[in-house]
Amino acid sequence: MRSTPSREPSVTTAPKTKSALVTERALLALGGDPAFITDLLGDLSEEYTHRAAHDGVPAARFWYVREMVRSTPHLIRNAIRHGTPSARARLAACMLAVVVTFSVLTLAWLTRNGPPASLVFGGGIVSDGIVVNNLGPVQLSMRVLDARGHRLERTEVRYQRISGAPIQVSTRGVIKCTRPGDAIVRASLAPLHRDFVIHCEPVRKIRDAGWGNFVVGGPAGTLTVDAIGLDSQPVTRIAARLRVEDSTIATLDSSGRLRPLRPGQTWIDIEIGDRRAGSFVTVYEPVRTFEGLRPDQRWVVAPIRLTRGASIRWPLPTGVFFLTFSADSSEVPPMRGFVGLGSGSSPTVQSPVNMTVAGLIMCTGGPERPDLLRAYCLARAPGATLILRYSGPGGPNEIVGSLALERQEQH
Amino acid sequence: MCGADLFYKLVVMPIVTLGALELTTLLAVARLRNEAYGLAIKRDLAARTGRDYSVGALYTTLQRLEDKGLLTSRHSEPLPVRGGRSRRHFTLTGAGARALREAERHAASIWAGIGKPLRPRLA
Repeated sequence: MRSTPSREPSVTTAPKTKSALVTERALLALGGDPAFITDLLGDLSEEYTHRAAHDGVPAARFWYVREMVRSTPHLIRNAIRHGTPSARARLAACMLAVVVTFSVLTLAWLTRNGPPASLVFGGGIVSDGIVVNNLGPVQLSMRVLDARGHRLERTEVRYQRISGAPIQVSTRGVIKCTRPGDAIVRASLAPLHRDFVIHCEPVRKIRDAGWGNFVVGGPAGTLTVDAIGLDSQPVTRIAARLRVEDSTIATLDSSGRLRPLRPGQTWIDIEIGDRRAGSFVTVYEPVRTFEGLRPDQRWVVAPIRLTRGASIRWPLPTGVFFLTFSADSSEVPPMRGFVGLGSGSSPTVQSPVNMTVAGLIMCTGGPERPDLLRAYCLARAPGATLILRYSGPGGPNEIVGSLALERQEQH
Repeated sequence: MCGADLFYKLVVMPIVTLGALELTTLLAVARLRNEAYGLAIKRDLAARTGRDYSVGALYTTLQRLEDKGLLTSRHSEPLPVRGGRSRRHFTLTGAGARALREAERHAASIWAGIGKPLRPRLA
């Protein structure tokens, strides 16, 4: 045994294995201390030879790899301490590559797709099948999932009508409903198949989706939509798609109920089959009176309770606005249109409820509704007054309702 | 000259603090004497502590002890069993021996006053 200076790489006289040489060169290129690497690999080789002789080559290989993995943090630390800037850059790039590769592999493993395991419906589903309200051809959207619920693309699901109404079904799942009826259709993707009911309920038109008025903090409500079939009768089984244009004003929950959120107006798109319609929704802020309204209070509604012969007088804001009175009770006889016009009081039509606007204001009647008094008003200056009087003949002793004010935006 | 040496020893000699692995490694080197190279130290530590330290961890510790001046090393002739690499033998330096004595004294002082057997006193 001879002494050599510390930290100097030893002179090799015996042959090294190819993999050990590659490992040594790679570690040196990454900036590791040559003495450290030589000592470490020498010990690993010596122990590997010993274990291969006693425990067998596979066990020795396993130990070698395990030991290299366990020593990796120390090799990295050694390379950081002893490496040149370029070697450190190589090390950083190498570590980044390892981290990225590991992340990508992990992600790929977690999101990998398995073989087809189930067929599930796409849209237009009711509890016992698929409702088709289209008059034109429509593509069935059957999803193919693997056992972990991942959606599989590029799958060739085949369709076939099994029984029921004679609807047209292509092998690729395009169906055409020419008349109402139910049919059983089979979707197949070997070795899977699933039978389901197609409810053909073609909708010819959507009739009068109408208006919807809601109050902030009030109950959620449903919009009434009449879908008319080929026989001009209402269609009872419909698969409608509803979309609120401004979901900060109102939202639709999963059961299709509209929930008012803040005062404003928005539009609801209604799509049934290949027919479309819309509904205008107004959400009002509840107030006790119209007195002292702020300019930003554009949609307000106040409760009205009038006994026979009584009246209320509220000052109106300047600007352009709609006034709408609606009675809660059906006992109030039908009324026809707006009953007060122009500057100063005006005579009214025959009605137990009389809505009059007095002052420097111009009003015109709105569209006729039997249950509404509606007016479109332009108040150029302050001082206008709204008078609501219940004369009572032929009606109950007291009427209950609400008076809504919808102010137009001022530019 | 004598005074300068004395001054050097009194002023420059630092108090070396040792970690647990450093202390056990230093003790293994002291125990193995001429046979203190990486693999032998690793086996000795495994036998005495029951812990299988990785080769990387061991060489990091040995290098740190050498940097502290507690160990010195020399290389043997290349050996076929090591793939043509030589063994690196470690030897305790004077500072290493003093560090061991200091560690022993320190351990004895912190254990002083603890009676045997060590049992929790019941209230």
